[in-house]
Amino acid sequence: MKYTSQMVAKPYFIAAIGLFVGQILFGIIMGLQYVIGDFLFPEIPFNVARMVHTNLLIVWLLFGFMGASYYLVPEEAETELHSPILAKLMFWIFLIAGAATILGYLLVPYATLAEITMNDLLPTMGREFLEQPTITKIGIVIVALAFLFNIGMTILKGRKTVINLVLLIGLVGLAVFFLFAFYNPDNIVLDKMFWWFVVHLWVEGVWELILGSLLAFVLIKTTGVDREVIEKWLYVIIAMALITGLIGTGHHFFWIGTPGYWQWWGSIFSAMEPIPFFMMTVFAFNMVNKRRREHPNQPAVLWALGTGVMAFLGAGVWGFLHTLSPVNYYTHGTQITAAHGHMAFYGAYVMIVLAIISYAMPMLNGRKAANSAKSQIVEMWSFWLMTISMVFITLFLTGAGILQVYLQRMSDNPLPFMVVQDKIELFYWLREGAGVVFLIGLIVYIASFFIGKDEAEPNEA
Amino acid sequence: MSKKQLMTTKITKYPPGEIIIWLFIMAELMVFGLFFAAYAVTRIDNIELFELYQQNLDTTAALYNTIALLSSSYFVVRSVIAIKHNQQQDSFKWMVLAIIMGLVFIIIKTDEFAHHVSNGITLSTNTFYMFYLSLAFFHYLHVILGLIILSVIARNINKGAYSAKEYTNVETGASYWHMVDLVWLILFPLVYVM
Amino acid sequence: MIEKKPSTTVETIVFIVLIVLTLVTYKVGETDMSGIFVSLGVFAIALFKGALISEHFMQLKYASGIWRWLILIWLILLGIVIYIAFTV
Repeated sequence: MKYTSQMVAKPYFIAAIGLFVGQILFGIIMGLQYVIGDFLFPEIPFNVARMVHTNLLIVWLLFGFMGASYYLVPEEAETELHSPILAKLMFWIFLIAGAATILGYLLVPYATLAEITMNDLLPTMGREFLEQPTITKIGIVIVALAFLFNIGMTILKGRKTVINLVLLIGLVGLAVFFLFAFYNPDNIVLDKMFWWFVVHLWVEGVWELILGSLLAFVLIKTTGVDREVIEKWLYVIIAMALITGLIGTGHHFFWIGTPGYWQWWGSIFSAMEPIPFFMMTVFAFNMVNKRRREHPNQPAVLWALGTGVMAFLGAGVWGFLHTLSPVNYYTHGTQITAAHGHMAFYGAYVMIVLAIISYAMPMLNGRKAANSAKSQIVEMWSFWLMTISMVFITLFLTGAGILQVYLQRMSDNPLPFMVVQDKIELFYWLREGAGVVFLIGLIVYIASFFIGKDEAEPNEA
Repeated sequence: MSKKQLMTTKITKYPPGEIIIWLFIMAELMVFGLFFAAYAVTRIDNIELFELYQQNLDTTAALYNTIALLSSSYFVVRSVIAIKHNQQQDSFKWMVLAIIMGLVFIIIKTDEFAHHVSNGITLSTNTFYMFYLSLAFFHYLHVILGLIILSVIARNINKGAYSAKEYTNVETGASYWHMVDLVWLILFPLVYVM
Repeated sequence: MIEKKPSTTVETIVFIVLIVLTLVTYKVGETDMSGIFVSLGVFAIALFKGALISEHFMQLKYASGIWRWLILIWLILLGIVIYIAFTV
């Protein structure tokens, strides 16, 4: 670690992992509720569990992105962070606001939560993924602005690298598109359309810039390949991600009441969305093959390679499966979507955050470059446990989805939703089993931070 | 191939410019290819509609535009050849000419779009216009991107950044520009004439 | 070091051919000639022009293996799709 202010990343990473555990626990609860409908009812109804599961995911990834930025930006800019105090302050504000919101979901009925947070003054609640009370949303904007100010000032006063600039564009985009969360038009078509401006343009637009820059950073550090080579790849990946991602939003506009040309625009451009992910995979493997050094931190390299492959599979291939409008006509809103969502989020965003944590944590803990060999082996076990169980979650949900589409929407005698849910119960059980393995993988991951703490790190080969 | 040619030309493993631009070019051609295929397939069930509204397009403007892009591509070729022979001033001159021809394309095409807008034609007017406007506008954005790339290269040539030894970036930009030209060469007959 | 003027004859001839073919296509559009074979002829000319761009402007004639065929394969595939769509 080159700059002491990079240390502020550490609490962000710890909070991210902590919330990650919460997310998975609620995932397991909800998975069980798919098959045992009244499990934990009325304490934790399904809709609340789902809200907590998805909101925690977003919040912990944001913690991860912020921590990653605080770690990476000073090192790239070759200067101390503009204000470490501000970063620490924002950490606590964000954590307390996040925790309070989650507790609000769990402790009071959603309608009451809306009432006590005075949602009627500026109604923004009640939409999937954007369930947060309006005051929480305002808090997110304040934290994001302070964060951008801090990062922006650091970049301005230091060395300007392509990685930093791409990251900054991604983060600014993240903040700007979140503003659509405050826009809540009465027209239900417009409401849905702008809702996607947050949801889609985050994960299939600006977040890809963040992903690209974090991946490029980890690859530069662990492979020692020339910066210029990596930057050229980054440019093209980003251009492709933006072209396909921005217009590809259209694949959400098929059935919400927007004009017919979106059938074409959405299908054609989103069909190309796998390309930037494919390029990222080729990029990661290429750079690792051309490496000029054997970095002692092997798990970090593994996560970086893993994110390329899994993002391509989850976001690219599984997205493509149901992105063409004639296919989506049958599949939208089924378990196919859930399958895609799980693997895409894990591959693209969970794994890149874990990659940067894996790379940075040893240094933040005062080591030179890597954890002990014992710890690394445990971490790699957790990589395989989580990744393989996620593959199975995806496959089981895909199986459930195919059956659901057929029974509910395509067969000669379509069955009602709940009847179909009963028929695909087996897949849900299998998925729950894979989910438990995922949780074990996560526990192993956390254990890797505590194992072999006092042992020396492996030498650079 | 004759012996003399073998001596003067070199077969290289890779195409000119950075490899990454070729991945990009292929990705772009896939998008356009899909769009062209979708156009042709949709036309099967709407032949009369397509042929009727095709006649409303300004073929003469499209002709001028084709000539503009072809000349521009040719000038870029000359610019690359010049820089490979260390003739920086010539290279710069050709590149500027190429950019001017690109701007001619933009002016004519903008006028065409303005004409459509004033007639109240939108993507929702009918299926033919949906395809025509989508394809033309998407290509138009590529011309603008290409012009930005060429402008950066022209500025660098002028600053003396490239020479007979180092001209990869010139070739990279040139390859992209030829792709933009190539797409228009297909778009013109398919949408305006056929 | 300034070298002597390089030869650009091939590129110039290709450019003139491209312009002439464009004018031919335009003239066909102007006349009342219509019909499937005229359309396919026009498109064949366009594909040929694309091949000229690929070979001589993009300089893929000097690239080896798959690289040389990148654009040509794209043109051929496009030609097949258009042929099928216009003749069914």
